[in-house]
Amino acid sequence: MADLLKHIPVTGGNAKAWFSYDQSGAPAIDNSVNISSITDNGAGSSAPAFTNAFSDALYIAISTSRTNTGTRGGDLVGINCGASDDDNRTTSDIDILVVSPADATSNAAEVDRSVIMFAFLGDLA
Amino acid sequence: MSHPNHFAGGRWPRRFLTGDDLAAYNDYIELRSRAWREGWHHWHRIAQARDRLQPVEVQHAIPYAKPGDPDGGMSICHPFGWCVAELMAGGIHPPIDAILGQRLLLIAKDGNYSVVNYVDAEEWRRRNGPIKHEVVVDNRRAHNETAGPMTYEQAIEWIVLKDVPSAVWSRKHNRPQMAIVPRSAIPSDRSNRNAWRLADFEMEQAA
Repeated sequence: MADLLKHIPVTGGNAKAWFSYDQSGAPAIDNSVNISSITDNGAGSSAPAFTNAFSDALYIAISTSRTNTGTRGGDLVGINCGASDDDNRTTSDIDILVVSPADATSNAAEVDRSVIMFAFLGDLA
Repeated sequence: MSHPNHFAGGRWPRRFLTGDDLAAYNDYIELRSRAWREGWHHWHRIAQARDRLQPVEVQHAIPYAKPGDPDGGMSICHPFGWCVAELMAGGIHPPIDAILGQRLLLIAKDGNYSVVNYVDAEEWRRRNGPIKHEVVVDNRRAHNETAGPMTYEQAIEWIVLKDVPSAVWSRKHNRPQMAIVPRSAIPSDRSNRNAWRLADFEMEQAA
């Protein structure tokens, strides 16, 4: 394993952190690499913290969530940029948000889902 | 917000650094490359630990008041079982003071910038408004040093110090700003999640 890891470049390439998380009840973590904790910030809102930080805040986050076919279609999962559209990536954590989109009868809403999955690619500190 | 391309990789942080900060950055970049090449980078230690450890079942959570909004909603930090297992095994993660002493270059949208320690970065971000970019400019100790085996309690404390904002635990407040509670104290019914307040959990803890 150690010999193999030496050949993975520090820049780019494989995911340097990832997790699978259930926020539908008492939050539970299914699996993770390089994540020390996740902070529940409210409905649909959470913030994983990286154990080994990224070198800068320009890493890439790839995400998905389990959706409910009985509701309004696919959720939107991504960086929580707030009302001012600020980037909330830092080298040590990232604010994420799961939103169920609006339809003809309902506004968009922040929702808790049973499977939230993220992978992060970038340069490590 | 968008980042100009010239903030990605390369030598650009040197334009913002002088004196000891510049010397430390040059030394850090050389050391980080060598650590990766030779297989003792912090991330290598984390990846290798998965071959020999099992995640710990974490029994506690840490509700805390959001800094700058003590009367508003609250956050709950959930430590991850893999990280707790790695800390309890020892020899994988750096001592917490090495994390808190990590140096960051923070650049605000208005052009103001500063080099601060990790422990002060959250406060700097809050005081200086939206951040345009940030980069780690000295993380040598995280690669050079490892903490020994910890108890479960010490591992939770390590994660609290790293992941809960220092404004919550480093200052005196008129009332508690955080609590360490059993996970069973966290309600599984989240229908009123945004109305939860820290006082609810203090009562749970006292009970």
